[in-house]
Amino acid sequence: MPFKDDASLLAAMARDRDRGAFEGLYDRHHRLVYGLAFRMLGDPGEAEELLQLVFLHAWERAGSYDPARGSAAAWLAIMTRSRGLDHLRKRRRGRGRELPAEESLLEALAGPAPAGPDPRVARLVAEALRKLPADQQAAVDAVYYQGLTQAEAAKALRIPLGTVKGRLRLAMEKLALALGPWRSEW
Amino acid sequence: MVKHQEFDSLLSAYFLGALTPAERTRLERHLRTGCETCRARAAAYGRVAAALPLAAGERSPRPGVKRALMERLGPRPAPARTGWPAWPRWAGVAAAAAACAVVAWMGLGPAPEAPLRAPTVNLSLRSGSLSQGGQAVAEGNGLAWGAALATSRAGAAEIRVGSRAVLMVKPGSRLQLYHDGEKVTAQLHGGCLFSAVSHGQVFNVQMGAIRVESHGTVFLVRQVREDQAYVCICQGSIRVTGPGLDRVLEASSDGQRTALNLALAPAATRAEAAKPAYYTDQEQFSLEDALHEVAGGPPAASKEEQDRQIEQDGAKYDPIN
Repeated sequence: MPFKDDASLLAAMARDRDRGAFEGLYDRHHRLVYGLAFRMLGDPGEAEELLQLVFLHAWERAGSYDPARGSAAAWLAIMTRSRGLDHLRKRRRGRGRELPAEESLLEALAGPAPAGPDPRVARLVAEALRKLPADQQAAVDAVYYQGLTQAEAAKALRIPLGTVKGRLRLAMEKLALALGPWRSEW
Repeated sequence: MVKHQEFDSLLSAYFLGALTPAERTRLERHLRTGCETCRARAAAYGRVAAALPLAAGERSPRPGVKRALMERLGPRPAPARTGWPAWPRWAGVAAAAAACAVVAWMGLGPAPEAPLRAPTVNLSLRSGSLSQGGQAVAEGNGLAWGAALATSRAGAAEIRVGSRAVLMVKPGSRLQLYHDGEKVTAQLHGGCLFSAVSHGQVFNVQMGAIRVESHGTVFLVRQVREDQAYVCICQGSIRVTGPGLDRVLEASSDGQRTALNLALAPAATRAEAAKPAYYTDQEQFSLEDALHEVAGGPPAASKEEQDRQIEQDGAKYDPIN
């Protein structure tokens, strides 16, 4: 294997239009991207199209990838979610809305670590997500993976708005606790 | 206390991307007051949010996607085509029009079995309006193998497959096309597909668990109801396979079409692998009957008109013309 890491693969894609490097990147990460795409869109055909669009974008924009800002996996996953939400908004057109710009606060307050979430953190969150009670998981899916507002999620899940808020709060607290003990002050 | 619970709720929703602009303004105003509790919590939630895109769970796409993707990577010299070479003498529009299969179907199922190895056949939008991956495609432009293709409720499209087939995608249809170097497979997710394929070419239509295999014929594939499908053939033969089903349909010699009714069990039942997906019921009836019944539209035109229409359609889709 001539390449050692994702950054090298992306560099070779940008520099040499290296299809072998592209295949390497695809082989490593396509299950992650497809898993996210399918969770968001729920349709194999649409999820496969999103998978292809994300990797085509990676092929075209490999040069814009900056390893200092996060892992290639995170870069691909964030791209997948962003495009997936675009697609979902189109699907729901007529009741579209502006999505909050998450990055501003993220950067201002918490900011992902310079190298993005490490694989261990991602695994812990994934595991905690799987272990959430079904109702909390459904609430997270509705707002995070399907891009609904809390009010829209309440309607979709046929539960009161306050219940959605409560479930999201409990879910987020559990996910955060999965990353290690931290004190809850209230 | 109550206040913090409220902001905790806002923070959770914020990092899950679910706040309205008004809620967000309220939260940010609070955070700017320097509330340490909320800031600490925001830092913890921020770590979760950064990991969430990676936490959806891994899953494998269907075979063939990688090949289709590699085809879309960008321009490269087109190799001399091997499969599907030259369009052979079209057996005649009438014969093409006569060899009709009507397949009505609804639902999703497994992917075509064959992985895509060497797709060297060009796909393009011949005319009409079509979207590829949600983006409109201009007439004459290329299409990608494996891409999600769809027509709007109002627009039909004609797709050229190499020089050996033309597919008419009726309004409100969704499909994907695959090619493995030998045969072309259309995976229909709903809607209606009319395919004119050169004699001798293997062209399959995959509809959920059901596969219709043809060797150069004309298909009309239309979604009717969730629980019903049928295949009608006018000339030659097609093979219909699926769970518990493997049947060759041959047209009768007297001009009547042979049809196969496929009643799809409800999705919940189909999920039980042990049960057959449908029952079958072979019978004879005319293409006009089939078209009319499938379309569920206005009363069928006279037989002469139908025949004329079919011939016109055949002429229209004859890729030679």
